Order: sequence, then structure tokens, then C-alpha cells
Amino acid sequence: MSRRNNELSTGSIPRRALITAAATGLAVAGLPWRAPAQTGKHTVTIWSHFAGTNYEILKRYVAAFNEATPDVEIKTTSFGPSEILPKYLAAVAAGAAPDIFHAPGYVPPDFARNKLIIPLDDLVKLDPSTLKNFDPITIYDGQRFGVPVNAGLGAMCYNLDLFEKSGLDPSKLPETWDDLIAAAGKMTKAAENQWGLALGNQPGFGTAQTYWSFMVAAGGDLVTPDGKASAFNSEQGLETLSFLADAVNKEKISPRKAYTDVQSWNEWGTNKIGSILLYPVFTANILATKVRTASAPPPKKAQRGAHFAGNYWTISSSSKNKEAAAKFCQWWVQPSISGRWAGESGAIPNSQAAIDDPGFKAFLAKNPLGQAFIDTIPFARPFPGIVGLPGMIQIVSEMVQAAVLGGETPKTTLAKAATRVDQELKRAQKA
Amino acid sequence: MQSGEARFAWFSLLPALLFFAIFVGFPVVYSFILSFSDWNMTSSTADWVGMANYTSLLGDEEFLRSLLQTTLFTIAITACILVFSLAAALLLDLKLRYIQVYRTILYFPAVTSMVAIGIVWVWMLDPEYGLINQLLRIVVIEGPLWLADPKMALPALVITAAWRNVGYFATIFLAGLQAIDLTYYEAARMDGAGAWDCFRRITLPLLRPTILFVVVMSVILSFQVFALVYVMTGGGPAGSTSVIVFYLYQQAFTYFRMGYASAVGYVLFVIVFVLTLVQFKLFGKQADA
Amino acid sequence: MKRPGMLRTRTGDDHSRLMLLVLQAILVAAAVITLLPYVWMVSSSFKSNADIISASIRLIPAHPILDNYVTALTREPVLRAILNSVVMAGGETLAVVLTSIFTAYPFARLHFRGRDTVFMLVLGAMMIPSQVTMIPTFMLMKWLGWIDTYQGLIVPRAVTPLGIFLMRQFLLTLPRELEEAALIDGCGRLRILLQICLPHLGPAAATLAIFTFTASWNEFFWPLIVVQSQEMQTIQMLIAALKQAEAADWGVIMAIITLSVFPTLLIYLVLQRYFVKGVAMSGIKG
Repeated sequence: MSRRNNELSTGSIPRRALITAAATGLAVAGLPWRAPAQTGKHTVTIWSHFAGTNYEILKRYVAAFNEATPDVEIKTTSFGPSEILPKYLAAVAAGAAPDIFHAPGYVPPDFARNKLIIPLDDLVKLDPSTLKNFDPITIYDGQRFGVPVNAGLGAMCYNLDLFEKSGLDPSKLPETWDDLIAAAGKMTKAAENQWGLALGNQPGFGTAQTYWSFMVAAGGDLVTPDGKASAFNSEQGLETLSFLADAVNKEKISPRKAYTDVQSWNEWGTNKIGSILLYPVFTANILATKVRTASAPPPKKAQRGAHFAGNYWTISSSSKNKEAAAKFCQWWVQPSISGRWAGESGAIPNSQAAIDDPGFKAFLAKNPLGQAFIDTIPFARPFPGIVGLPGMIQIVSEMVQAAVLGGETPKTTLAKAATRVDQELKRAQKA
Repeated sequence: MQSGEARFAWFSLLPALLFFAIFVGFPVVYSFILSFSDWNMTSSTADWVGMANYTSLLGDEEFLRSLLQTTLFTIAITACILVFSLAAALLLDLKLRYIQVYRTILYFPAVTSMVAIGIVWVWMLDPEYGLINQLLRIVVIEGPLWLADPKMALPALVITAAWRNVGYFATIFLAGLQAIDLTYYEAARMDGAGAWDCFRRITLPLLRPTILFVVVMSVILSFQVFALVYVMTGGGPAGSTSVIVFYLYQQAFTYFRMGYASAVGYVLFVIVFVLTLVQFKLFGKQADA
Repeated sequence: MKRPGMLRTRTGDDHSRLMLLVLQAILVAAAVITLLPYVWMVSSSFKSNADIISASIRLIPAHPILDNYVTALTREPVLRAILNSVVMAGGETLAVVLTSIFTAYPFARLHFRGRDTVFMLVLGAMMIPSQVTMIPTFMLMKWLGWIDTYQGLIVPRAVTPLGIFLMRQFLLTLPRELEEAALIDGCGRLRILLQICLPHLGPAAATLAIFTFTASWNEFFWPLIVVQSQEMQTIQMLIAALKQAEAADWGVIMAIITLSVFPTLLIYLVLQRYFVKGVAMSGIKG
């Protein structure tokens, strides 16, 4: 075959490749293969689910703590909120968990029951004015397992430009669900992709929050008082689900679209969305859009209501530096620190004292949307602090999307989801 | 000579097999054992439950649904790849000016992370602002709701996956095409064969190992599709894009059922393994000759 | 044999000008479809957050800004993350290409008992979803002391079924006659592999290298599990975490994604040369 004549000339290819390879190999060998271990003081690791701007701010706070506490050195790493859970669970399984785990709001009960994290009552003294709203999630079996980093809760934001253009009075924001539906109806011009209301419906934590926020206002509950079975297959549960589904399918005041809540907020800049249920960290982005915006506590149904969210410092059972880790938590809950943190990061402080702190007050003075969130605190309720909460949240959020986009009636969807939650709670809570 | 060959074979395989035993064998055996337990990830102990995970899978409607949806996804995307990647490879094999530029461009999507693709394609498929529906509107067609419609969400994911993978597999086909000895074509030309004859009689048969590779890879990868769903739909709307590995991931990390999730993984393994064997039987024989 | 005004393909087909135009048009269309999302991505990276989300689509930013890149490069450890990804993907590519050649050869060329069984076993390893084996593999890393190290990122993926499979398929397309002559001359199999087959494996090695680098570059879950410290973070981990930041900074994310695409493209461009040259040398002579 004619090919054999060419063999000699082809020899150079692999050799050149090998040289490149060898060069790469040397480059790899030259790099530090392991971060050098710290010696002398207690090194405490934190895995945070903050990212971007807020992680940058957190790093500054950690640096300040390290400065103020010579015998403790904190090292932080940031992982995204949805991946920090698999990350942490894998680490626990291999015995490589961090000292402090920055827990998303729905994991403390499960982790506490299985002793992945330790009770903190003897290690950290919270400020006496710490918001009581945190208790259901952080207290398990009478002991506190999480130190609130900050709170977060949803308030409504309204587009005042659209209010005026639609002949609504911008000084009279909707008070009730019916007001909201009526106002959103006036603002909607479907042909121009202009919608009165946009809410998240993609499966996940955000959508479950939205459902629960309206459900609190409807006066319903997710689970029975003993926390062992679902309770949302009720009149109030149906009212809430129908409200979300009808906004899209019947009243047609919301776009028929698969939304995460962040996506729904992101469209604010188009000036074609009349209202959203917003969390405070995003207020800076909303203000940056230059759309004239007003905020208010969510509208009421049977009562005023909202979802109360939070995130927590927890200490791993396997930590060898529990006391040093607790020092950081103790430092964090000082109102002057927590208040300033909330102000800088755009969150709600963890205690009344922190709310009253000048660091936070300065933020409120600058951020015209902030006060509504503070006003919402008294009637904001967290998710029930039950074992099996992550599963329930997932099922509830899937239910919302199925009712909004799936084409089934809210009633059937609700009944199915309730059965699934019952099974899930029974399985998760099995001794 | 035959025994010397066998000795060389094992000598050359040994390091890789040893490596496999440690880094693949151990995790596989470990997780296989887990699939007979009820380990919930958060506790340090697990109970042996025998075949319970496997038997409850058979009655698990959501699992069966995800299995069906994964199968549909796999068939659709593999068909897309066979047609479009091979066509693209034939085009990219032309001696045109700037062909290098086209080859590079078509490979772009393969080097882009799924997270990035997710962000961009959720926007592309947006019923109101998305580029696709805006373009359809130019030709006066109101586009579908894509990810907001339980019937259209899976097709939308197929389109996204095709956009991402066609160039990737075209590169494999291209390498396969270029490995074919040109003397075959010269000989055929002497006999007066046209382009189509050459394609049918020379290119296709000689491309057989490559086609086998592409189909096997596509089936294995598509049955394990995860990132696409994870970043774009979260399994919705109404469960219409829940695929097996996504279901598995949720069982493990949302419901903390690692034992059950492992069982899902091994059922998936058996399905894909059998499918691969069938493919080898179907068009492997000649290639292996 | 070449007629004037016609295009001769590599395989000797002649195409008319019209046909040529049609083929060109298809290629251009394919390129446009491929590129459109990137145009949006890159243009977004030059937009402020408020401009990204706007009712009218502008592919050319009205007020282009560089702020996103400045923020990306100063606030986020982008360069370090890219370096980590390069080390991980480069190391893995090197390892995979070398191991695949040696492991694939016996499967493609030799006859020994158990060959097909072992091959199917190797292939089978590819069919178990990594989400299932992730945790035991991580436990192994802990025992080896490889958590948060480059070894931990690279070694568990240094031999891949995909690479072995790909190499085997390419070896099968090489004409046996090449080796038979050498065998008759009494060459050992190792020498045959190194001196006769290896030079022809240029395209296959380049293809495998491109694929491995790409896959490793985009790999996200394994680094997430192995890496514990900020210094070891890979670029995909950074992007994923930023994407989920509640106050999502779209412009910055788009800027980082834009930056993150280039190293892999570079590898592709560099290896494409070998890939094509290797092919050109292995038999285009008419």
C-alpha cells in the first residue's frame, strides 16, 4: 500500500506531542500540590453558600474577625446554595466536614436529628432580642442547632410607572388578594407582553417559599401540629394554589412561563411587570433598574402573612475546633456586627437590637424599599421545623408548577401532592 | 506466538486494570452494596433491606415515567446526531476556503459549560423575549411556550442538546472520515462510481466502527443526561422533563435516600449495558472482524 | 482529471459551482445557528445589569461597558480558577491519552481469552452514573489524603472507558497490512504499537485529547466534591456558585463565562492542526 512510504515522515507528530506533554507535566509539577497547613492557632473552616458580592462582603467580616481574634484563623470557601448540600453530605460521609457549615434554611431539623451538627445552647449566647421567627427551624428537641446569620422574607414590589399608566393610584397599593388581582388585571396588556404580576414557579426552594408566603396569609398550615402529616390539602391550601394557578390560567394577569423567582425579578428592568414578590437581597438590583418602585408587605387574605426565611451557622459534630468555631458565631451575633452585615448585604438582621443598630439604620435610610420588609416581620412565619422538610419543599414546589403550567386542576394536583408529602414524612421520620 | 501475544496483552492491560479495580471497582462495589440498604446519607448507620429498593422501584410511577422520558430523549437526540453530525462532518471534510473556521465554530458549543448553556438557552427559549420565538414571529408564527409547556419542554431540551452535541460528534465523524484510506475512492472512481455510490459503498461501510462508537456513546451519554435538566428545568413543568439521573440525584440529595438512589443507578446500568450489547451485536460484528 | 471551475473534495468528488454555493450556504447557516447564543452572551458581558434585562433585544450593546470584566478579574479569583482548571484538564488529558493507547491496543488487535468480557467490563464502568459512585470515590480520596489536591482531581479520571473505546475504534480502522509485514519481520507487539501504529494515531490522539480536555474543563460535580478551599476552586465551580448568588450579577457571570470558553477553544485550535496534519500525512498522497 502506498501508505508505507509515508511512515518515516509521520514520526515527528507524536514526538512534538510528547514535548508539549512533558512541558505540561513540568508545569503541573511546579505548582503547589497541597495548600500548606496552618500551625500555631486554631484554624476554623467555613463553607458558605453565599457567592458573588455577598461572599465578598462576608470575607471582609471574616478578615475583621481574624484580626480581632488572634488565636483563631477562619478560612472560608464558597459553594452555590444548591450544591452545598451534596458537597456537605459527601464530606460528612468521608469524615471531611468543615467546622462551620452555612446551612440553608431547610436543613437544620434533619441534620440535628441525625447528629451531623451539634446543639449550641452552651456554646453561643444569642442576643435576647433575636427574632422569635427563627425558633421553629433552629430548635430541635428543645435545643438550638443554628445561629441565624440573617433573615430574609418576601415583600411585594409594585411598578409605579405602570400603576399610573393604567389609571391606578400609586399612593394606594393593594391591601388584599382581590386588590392585587384587580390592580394586576388593569396593568396587564397581554398582547404587549405586559403583565400585572410575576411569580416564580420552577421546582425548588424559591417556589415553595412563594406558596407558603401566600398560604400564611390564607391562614393555612403545611403540616399538622405534630408535624407528622400534611395539612395543606385544605380550604386554605386550595385557595392559595388556585390563586397562583388562576393568575396565569384564568385571570391571565401573569405570563405563562417557567420562572424561577430570580428570573421573575430579573424582568423588572423591562418595565413591563406590574408586581413581584421580592426578597431583600435583590432590592439593590431593582433600584438599579431605575423603574419607579414601591414596596409593601404582601397583601392579606384571611390575615396578613408572609414567609420567613433564614440561613444559619451550624457547627459540625466532627469539628475538632468547636469552641473556636463558637467564638466566631458569638462574634457574629453582636448587634453591631449583625446589623451592619444586614445593611451591607441587603438582608434582614437577626435580632431587634441589630435592626435598631446604626449600621442597619443607615442602610434603611438609603434604601427606600427596605422598610416594607421590616414591617412584614411580625406576621412572617418560617416553614415548619420538621424532619423531612427538604422533601416536602420539593414536592410543594413541584405541585405549584404542575398547577400553574401542567394543565391539571389545582384540586387534583393538591390532593396528589398531599399524599406524596404524607408518604415522604412517614418515611423520613421513621425511627 | 499466540501465548506471547496474550502475555503482552495482559502486561499492557495490567496497569489500567489495576487502576480500574481501585478507582472504579471499589466505588462501584461499595455503591452496589448500598443499593441493598436504606442509608439516608445523614446517619452513620444503614439497615440491610435486601431487594426492597429494587422491588419498590418497579411500582414507583415517577421512576417509570422518568425512564420513559429518558428513552424518548435518547432516541430523539441519537437520531439528530446521526443525521446532522454525519452531514456536518461530510461538509467539514470539503476542501473549502476557511473550512477551519467552520470546524472551529461548530465545535464551540462542546467547549461551553452546561451552566452557561443553561443560562443562554433558557433565554433563547423564553416564550416572550427569546430569540427563537422572536424569529418565528418574523415569519408570523406564534412559537410554542417551550419550557412552560409540559408537551414541549422535552423537545426543547432535545433541541438544546442537539445544538450542543452535533458539532462534538461531527468531530468524531470527521476524524473517522479522514482515517479512511483514499485509495479505496481512487479505485472506485476508476470503475466510474459517482459521489453517492462512493458514500454508500465506501464511506458508510468503512465508517462502521465510528458509527458504532457514536451511537454507543450517544446512547450512554443520553441515558445519563443530567446537567441539561438540572440547570434548565429542574424536571418540570409537571415532571415532564424528569430524567433518570435527575430523579436519582433528587432521591439522593433532596430526599437523602442514597440506598434507593443507588438502586436507580444500577437499574440504569443494566438497561444501558444491555442496549450496548445489542448495538455491538447489531453493527459491531463486521467492524470487529 | 480535475475539471476547471469544479471543486474537488478530498475523496475525489467533483462539485459544480452551484452545488458549491449551496454547500457553503448550509455551512454558513450552521455557523450562524451555532454562534447566535454566543453573540448574545458576549454582548451581555459588555452590558450593565439593567441593560441585559430589557424588552428589546440588542445584540450590540447601546452603552458598552468594561466594568463586568474589571469586576470579574478583580473581585473574583477568575485567573486562579482558570489556572486550576487548566492543570486539572491538562493533567487528565495527558494521562488519558497515554493510558488509552496502551490499553486499547490489546482490545483492538490481539486475541486472548477473556478479551471481550474485559472490554465490556471496562465499557460497563462508563454506564454507572457518577452521582452514585461519587461518595465512595470521595471516601477513597480521604484515605489517600488527596482531598483538595490536584491528584484528587486528576487521578480518579486518569483511565477512562471512553478513551479506551475511542482508541480501539480508531485502531480498528487502521489497515492490518501495516502490522502484518512487521510481524513477519519478527517485530514485537510493543514495537509495532510504538513504531507503526502510534504515528497513525495522530488524529485519534488529537481527537481524544480535545474531548478529554473539554469534558474535564466542563466537569463540575467531581471538583465540587473534592475541592475544599478557595485556592483550589475550578472555573466551573466559580460560575455555578455565582449563578446562584441571590443578587445575581448577570453581566459579571457573562464576562466570566466568556473568559472561560477561550482556553478550551485554544486547545481545540492547537490540536486541530495535529489532527489535520496527521491525517494529511497518513495517506492523502494520490
